Amino acid sequence: MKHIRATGFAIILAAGSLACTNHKLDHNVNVNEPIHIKLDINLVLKKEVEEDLTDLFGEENEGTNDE
Amino acid sequence: MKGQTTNDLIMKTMIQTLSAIFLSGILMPAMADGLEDLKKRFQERAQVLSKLRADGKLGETDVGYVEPVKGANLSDNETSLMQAENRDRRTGYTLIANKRGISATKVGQLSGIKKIQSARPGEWIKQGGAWKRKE
Repeated sequence: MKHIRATGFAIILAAGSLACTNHKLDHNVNVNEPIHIKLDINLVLKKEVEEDLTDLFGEENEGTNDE
Repeated sequence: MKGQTTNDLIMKTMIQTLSAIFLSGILMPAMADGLEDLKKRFQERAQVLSKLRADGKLGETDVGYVEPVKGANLSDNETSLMQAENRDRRTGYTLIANKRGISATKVGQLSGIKKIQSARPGEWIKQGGAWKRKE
């Protein structure tokens, strides 16, 4: 009888643990949407191109409204 | 006979490799010199272009080039200067585009945004095909 209770308890614990893990996985998928990753890459590229442009045009590009 | 063919192949590959190294040794500094020349010419024209923009004769566009403002009369020298500026900008945008793997048009648009942001209040800017004064 004790064995049956212990086994049942172990099964309940395992099922609970599995449910929690699944819930956590679902949560992660919802948070990390692909659009955020793509936007980050574009922002890096945009920043790099802007730096190239600043290097190309020098002060003329940046300082026209400084006076 | 077979050994001779293999030797020929090895020689051919060596010649091709050495030629590639030799050409890159010549072309890379030439490209760097080209970029430095571009930067120098932009610097040299900056002051005159700034005056033409302040006088309302030239304006920056959202595609990254300068154009005569509507109704403005440019002298031959001013037209030549504008054309040279746009030609060099196109070259510069193409260099950056090739380096970053995007189109020169996109680089021009990003440049246009920067140029318009840098424009002084009262200068003419062209956005979406329409001229307006920067506020």
